[in-house]
Amino acid sequence: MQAIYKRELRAYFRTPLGYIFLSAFIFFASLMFVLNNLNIQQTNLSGFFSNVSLIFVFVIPVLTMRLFSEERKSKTDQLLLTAPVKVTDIVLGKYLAAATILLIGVGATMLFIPIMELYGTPDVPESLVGYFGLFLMGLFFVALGMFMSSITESQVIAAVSTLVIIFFFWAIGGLNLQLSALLTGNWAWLGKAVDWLLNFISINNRMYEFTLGTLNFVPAFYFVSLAALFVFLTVQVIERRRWK
Amino acid sequence: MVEIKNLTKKYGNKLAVDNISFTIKKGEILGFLGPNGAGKSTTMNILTGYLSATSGEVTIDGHDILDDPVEAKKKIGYLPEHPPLYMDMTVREYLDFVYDLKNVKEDREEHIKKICETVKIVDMQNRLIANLSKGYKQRVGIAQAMVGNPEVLILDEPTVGLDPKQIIEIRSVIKKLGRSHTVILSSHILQEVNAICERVIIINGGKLVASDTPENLGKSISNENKFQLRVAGEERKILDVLENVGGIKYVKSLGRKEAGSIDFIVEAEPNVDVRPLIFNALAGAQLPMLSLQTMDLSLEDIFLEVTRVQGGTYFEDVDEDDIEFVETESNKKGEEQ
Repeated sequence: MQAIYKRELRAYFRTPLGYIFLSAFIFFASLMFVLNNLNIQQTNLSGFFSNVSLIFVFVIPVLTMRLFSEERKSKTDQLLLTAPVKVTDIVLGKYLAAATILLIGVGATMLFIPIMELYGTPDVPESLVGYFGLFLMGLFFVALGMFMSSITESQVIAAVSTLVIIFFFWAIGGLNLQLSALLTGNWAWLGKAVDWLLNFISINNRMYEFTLGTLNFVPAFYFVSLAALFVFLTVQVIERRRWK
Repeated sequence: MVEIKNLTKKYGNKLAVDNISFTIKKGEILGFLGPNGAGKSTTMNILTGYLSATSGEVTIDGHDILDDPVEAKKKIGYLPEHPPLYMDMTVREYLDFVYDLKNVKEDREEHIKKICETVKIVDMQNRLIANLSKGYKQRVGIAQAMVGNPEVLILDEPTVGLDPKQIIEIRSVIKKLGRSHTVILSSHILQEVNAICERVIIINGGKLVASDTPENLGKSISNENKFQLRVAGEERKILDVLENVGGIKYVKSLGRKEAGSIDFIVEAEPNVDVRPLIFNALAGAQLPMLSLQTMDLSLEDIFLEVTRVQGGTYFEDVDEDDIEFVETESNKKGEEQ
């Protein structure tokens, strides 16, 4: 696992991908920080976090698109899968490498806290909880992107499909369908159930709970379990491919 | 060392490997021969655990490739058809990565140095793999398979796409490796298998059609005992002498190929060595024999014979010399799967 982790991490900086991801993420995050906080002299980062989650939608596919699709296309997966290592270790090595780059990006934007301290008094613990939530959300997106990369040989398809799915998760809460208001009588329960479900899977709503500065178990569990699910599915895809 | 039992692989409805069984003894160099699309790569991919068989078993030194994959894979070094190289790494970084990946216990510096010397890439270690020529990429591919000193080396068409000089070098590397390893080598080049391997397995259409030493394969297919003979002198006189030699079934004149001499084809009774008799008879008649050649079936003839008999239709209308270049649409497809 270590060997794969190291190689993958190095590959991010051998190819432009690592630089593209980090520079794009940090640039847009800084822009949001200026707009949400510096310009209006606001120390509460919740608006910033909400905007950054949208940036994730666009930059995380860049981070994950090549993880498995490139291996398959260049047939280097034959080396990995015939080496005496478990598929789980291969997947985890790659996942952790991408997660490390994500951490570097999120970590770099934590510089905003000391910047705010120069001019005001931000609530540091509240901000840290927000960053923690942001990172957990990123972990879920990375796992999802890795999974999409494992089912196709094409990096473009992997990136675009990841983007579409993350965007769906991101936007679904914003729809706020209010079906329960439309459906009355016998179907009221259905409206309520759909509303509840859409609200539950909405990434924005879960992320919002973090930006309030309270460390809740439910949203953390939501992101971590989804990340674990997609890591698991990636292992399954690769194990199953041999039987095709 | 390697045991394959009733191996079958289906891609959808297409049967790529059809109930193949064979064993490879320790220290053996086995040639795996077949036309393009015969199922060679598929079989090798199953042997190494990259693919799983639809049914059948593979054990490497007693370890089942499915039940005990990590132990089985430790014993294998695999060079797939396309060397699995990372273009963004230097040769040394790549070999270091493979060393870590396979969790090798030997001394890193010494181990990698020894491998680089064997495949002659010592001076290439700091070059980016993307910038290497095809021949060197192939060598790095072989080096990768050797990392960890696995007992079994599985090489899928190791000389394909190389120039003649590189082919000779790679072959000598493989022969050298064969002294200390069990080697399975696939090829559709017959001379190669003939030159390197102690035993040959021929597969066609996913079926195993022959398995023996190159020499025995020749004998089993043809019981004929034929010679080509070149003798200086008059045709009439020579025929008179030859017809009186015991054990000869028939003599056929091929006419003049070299000034002052005649060529003949002589077929003798099976299991009779008539060569000394012919020599003495011609010498007695003062007819100098310029050359005598046995007409063994070459591996190429055997290959054509075997693959044709077993329903291999690819070669029916093809000049024998062109055999390496035959790629019909149907067998190309099979190869890609």
